[in-house]
Parts: sequence; C-alpha cells; structure tokens
Amino acid sequence: MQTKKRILVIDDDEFVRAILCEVLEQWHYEVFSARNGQHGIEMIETKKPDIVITDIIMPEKEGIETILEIRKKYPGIKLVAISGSDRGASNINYLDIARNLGANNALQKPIDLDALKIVLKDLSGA
Amino acid sequence: MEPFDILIVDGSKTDREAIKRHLANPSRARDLRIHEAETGADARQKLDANNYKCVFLEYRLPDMDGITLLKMFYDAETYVARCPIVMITGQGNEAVMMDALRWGAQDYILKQHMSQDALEIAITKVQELFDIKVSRKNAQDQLHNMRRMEAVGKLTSGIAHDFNNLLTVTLGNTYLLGKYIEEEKEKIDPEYILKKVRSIETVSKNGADLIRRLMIYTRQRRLKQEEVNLNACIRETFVILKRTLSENIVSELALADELWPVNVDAAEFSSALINMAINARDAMLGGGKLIIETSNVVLDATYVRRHAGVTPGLYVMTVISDTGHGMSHETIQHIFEPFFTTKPIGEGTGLGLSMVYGFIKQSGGHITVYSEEGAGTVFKIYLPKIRSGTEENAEEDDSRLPSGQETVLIAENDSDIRGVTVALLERLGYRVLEAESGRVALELLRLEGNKINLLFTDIFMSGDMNGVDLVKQVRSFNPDMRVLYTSGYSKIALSERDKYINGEFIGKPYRNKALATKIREILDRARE
Repeated sequence: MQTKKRILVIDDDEFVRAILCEVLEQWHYEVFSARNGQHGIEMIETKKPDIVITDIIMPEKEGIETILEIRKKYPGIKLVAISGSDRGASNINYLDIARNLGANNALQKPIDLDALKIVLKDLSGA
Repeated sequence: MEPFDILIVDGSKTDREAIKRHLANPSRARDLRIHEAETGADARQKLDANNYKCVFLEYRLPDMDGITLLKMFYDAETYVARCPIVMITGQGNEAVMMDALRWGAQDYILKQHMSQDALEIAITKVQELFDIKVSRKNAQDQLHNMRRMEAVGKLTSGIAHDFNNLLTVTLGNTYLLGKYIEEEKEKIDPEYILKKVRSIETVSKNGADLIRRLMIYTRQRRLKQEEVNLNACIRETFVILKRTLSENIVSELALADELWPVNVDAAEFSSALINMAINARDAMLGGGKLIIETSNVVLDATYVRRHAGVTPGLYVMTVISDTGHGMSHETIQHIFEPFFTTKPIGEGTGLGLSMVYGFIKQSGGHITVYSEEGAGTVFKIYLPKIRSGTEENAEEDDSRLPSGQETVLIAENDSDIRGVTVALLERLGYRVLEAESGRVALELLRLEGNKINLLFTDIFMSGDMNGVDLVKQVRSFNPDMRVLYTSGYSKIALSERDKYINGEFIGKPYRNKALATKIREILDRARE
C-alpha cells in the first residue's frame, strides 16, 4: 500500500491554516501546520514532510527567508509558495521571487483549490 | 447670449430705479435681467432659489442690515458669499466696508459715487474675484482628493492581502461543503454543515468590518472641526493601520491618560496618521517598529522663540516614531513641500506630507520632524487644547524654577538649542560648560571632570561620537558621572532602538520648568 505524502502548511492566519489542512486531509495527505517560518523549520526536523506550502508574508520569519532556508537545508522537499499580496511596496512580485528562489510553484490567494490539487499531484509524483 | 441675472436689494424704490438706470447701458454686450428685492427676507428667498451673476446689496434694509444677510450666505470654505456681491451704502463707513469684505462681499460702493462706469467696473471685478476664490477652493479640493486617493491606493495593497486570506477560507469551506453534500448525500450531518457555514460567516463578517472602515476613511467629506479625543481617533485608525503595515513591522500605541480634547476634523487627522504610517512602512521594508504616542504638553516661550509661527499654550502632542532608514538633512528641508517625494516614479505623488502640514496648520497646530539616517524618523504633531476658562499660563516665570550652583556640561550639536539651554541654566545660577560635539564634551570631561556635576547630552549628535558613546567613554574614567539624556525621539521609541540607553531622560522639546526640575532632582539624588 502506498504511504500518504506528508505536507506541512505554514501560514500565520489560523483560519487559512485550518481550512487548508482540512482540504488536504480530504485529498488524503498527512498534514501538519505551523504559524510562522521559524516554527515551520522546526517542524520539518520532526515531521519530515515531502511538500511544504508556505505563505510569503509572515511575522518573525517570513516566507522568502523560510524558502531560502528550506532550499539550503532540505533540497529534496518540494515547495509551494502562497501569497495574498501580489506586490510589495517596491512593486516587486513576491510570487516571482519565491519561484526564483527555488519554490517549485507559487499560487496567488485566494487559492484556486483545483489548481492546488493539480500542483500537489505533480509534486507528489502521483 | 446667456442671460445675465442681477439682483438689486434695496428698501428704497427710488434707489433701485437709480441703480437700474446706471445698469441700462445699451453698449454693454450683456443680456441683462434685473431682479429686485425690497427687504432682507425677500432677498433671502430669491438668493436661495436663484443664481445671480451679481448682487447689489444695500447696507440698510427695512428688516435687517446687509451684513446680517451676507452672513447667511457666507461660505466658510471659499471665504466668499455664495454669489458675487457688491455692498452699496448711502454713507461711507470704513467699519461697514471691512465687515462686508470680511463676510464675503467682493466690493463696496458709495451711492454718491455710483455711475455707469463704476457699476460696470464693479460687476467685472466682483465676478473675477469670485471666480478666483472659487477656483482656488476647487484646486484645494482636488489636492485633498488626490492625497486621499494616494493613501487609499497604498491601503488597498495591504487590505487585498487580508481579503485574499478571507476568500481562501470562504472558498475552502464552500469547496468542502460542496464535496460533502455531493459525496455524503445519504447521511448528511447537519453539525458538519453548520460548522462550515459558521466559519464562512465569521470571515465574511471580518471582511464586512474591513470594508466598513475603508468606507469611513474614503468617504468624501468636508472639513468638519469638532471636539475630538485623539486617543479614540488613534485607536480607531490603528485598526486600519495594522492591516496596512507589513507583518514584519511591529506597531504599538502608548496613549496618555486623560488626554485633553482638541478641535479638529477627526477624518483628516486619521488620514494624516495613515499617511505618516505608510511613509514609515515604506522606510522599514526590512521590518521595524512603529510607535504612536500621545501626551499633553506645554509649548512655552522658549520653544516658541525657536519655532516661527507657533503660539505658546497647551497642546496635545501625537508622536509617530519609526525605526526605518531615516532621512538626510536635505530631504528633511523639503518633506512638507507639495510634490516632493523620494519614492520611485509612480509610487508617490509627494502630496501626502504637504497636505498633512496644511491640515495641521489649518487646525491651529504645528508639526515637527526629527530624523537620523539609518536610525529612524519622529514626527510630532501639536494640536491646541480646546481652551477652558481656567487655563494655565504657558509663559513661565524663571524666578520660581528650581535653581542651583553646580556645574553642568551641555553636549548638544544644535547651536540654537544649546544657546537657549545654556542661557536658562545660567539664569538659574548654574555654572555651565558647553560642547558642540561628543568629542569636545569628552575633552572637557577629561580636563574638568571632577568639577562637572552633571552631563546633559543629546543622544544623536553628528560626528563620530553620539551621546551614548560619550557616556560609555566617560564612565570608563568617571563611573559616578550623573547623566541626563535628551533627544527628539521619545523615550519609548528610543528604548526600542537602543536598549542600552539606561538613564535619566528628557524628551525634546523640553519646558524650562521640566528641565530645571529634572536637573535639580538628579543633582539632589547625587547628594543623598
């Protein structure tokens, strides 16, 4: 029997975390969540996820920093960046940055769940 | 030809006829339509119902005087009556003339000087003046709207982030509900559906709340001064602000208890705060801290001497501090000028701070900025307290201030502030040494260290030694040196930036009384 793929969701918004976890569980993933990048990095050590879905703008350790650290320490983990703001104050597209820094995919919030399903399927090699 | 409607308001039929005769100039290229009113009440009705190109208004009317009627039609926003008005009178009186012009008339004619030419000139002149004043008001309105839209544009990006999160939750729930109903048709659990519906309800309410606040902010409204408690206004604005600031910016309120009320347009004040907070946000792309503080302050004669156009008195001070990249001296010189911006093309109109400045001035207030490159920026807004009968006098009598004979070294690189402070302390009997930099102060302390009882130092001084470095050096050879720090930053903002600053502190601007008392306290404590 094929084991469930493990996904870590990192988002500072508790409602977003909760709904993503529930949807992902419905899609038969094993899901964990973290409220910020720092907490997320700590959970990678213990939960060993296959895929990390991370928000980009978060307090304490924000998503770009988190992506860089995950890419460096855990090159095998697949990364999906999500963001509610497409552009920052200096007009730089956060999702483009996330892709450039090694995110396998990047999705704009509100998340199109059909698109997310396809992205995760591809990344899981299913 | 467009008809040219003129209203003559005069109790005397003879005088109205005389004016009509003067106006009936066949060479004039106008389709004149002359209307008449015999009383103030009649004129009021006609003015309410029609737009006249010019009104000739006699000062003495059977039921009221012309000034009373003028006041009814005075528009405080344009500083003119609602249509072009020429006041006419049978007797010359300078006071009446000044009153008429004050209440919005554009010209004043004595009946004995009335002629065809005089009336023709008056009609042209009042129309031109009226048009200029109205255009100026329209331009001001446009600037206000541009500034509001600039701030709204910036707010939008912050609010979009929150909305996209809300929609993610809503869409996630509806997705799950849809799947559940599709797949569990036979055994639907109402509890599960209710849970999802409640979740959608919660986030939708959050969304509605965001929209409500945004609507309050963007509503087109006229300047409306009213008694306002700035703490309440700041708390309300802070809810919007927090959503606009990046999540790597920590924001904090430090609001004084029992803040005095001020007379101000709350929406304009809120816009000013948002403008300044957005500037702070843009100066802290790498994260930082924004602090908004309030306090009751007195701007005394000493302060007023250094700040042109400020009236001594009681003010409510709002301080907006950030720990961003700060501004150069050159930039500070221009920040309140219209269209000055340091932002990339397309990101700022440069109107924000100039409009803030205009609004504060219109409200009888005063704004200052203090900034250090690489350290941060502090804006201080002073708005006058609503006057009450038992107001304390802002002028101070130095002879009643605590005094002393000890030696105080003042390290301050602003020569004006240094000069004023030296003069005050000398008047109070102290022996005063002064240094324009940390280095000079250190030299003096090395030479006269054991004779100096107190070091009063600014924290940020240009040059290679700031106040904190100076104190560190001094403590290495004189660990007991009494120190009083000062800065344009508030103590709360400083404690965030420089946690190592640990000592007595007095914020700029300081009152004579506050400084004299503080110095006396420190020196007395040293003696105990």
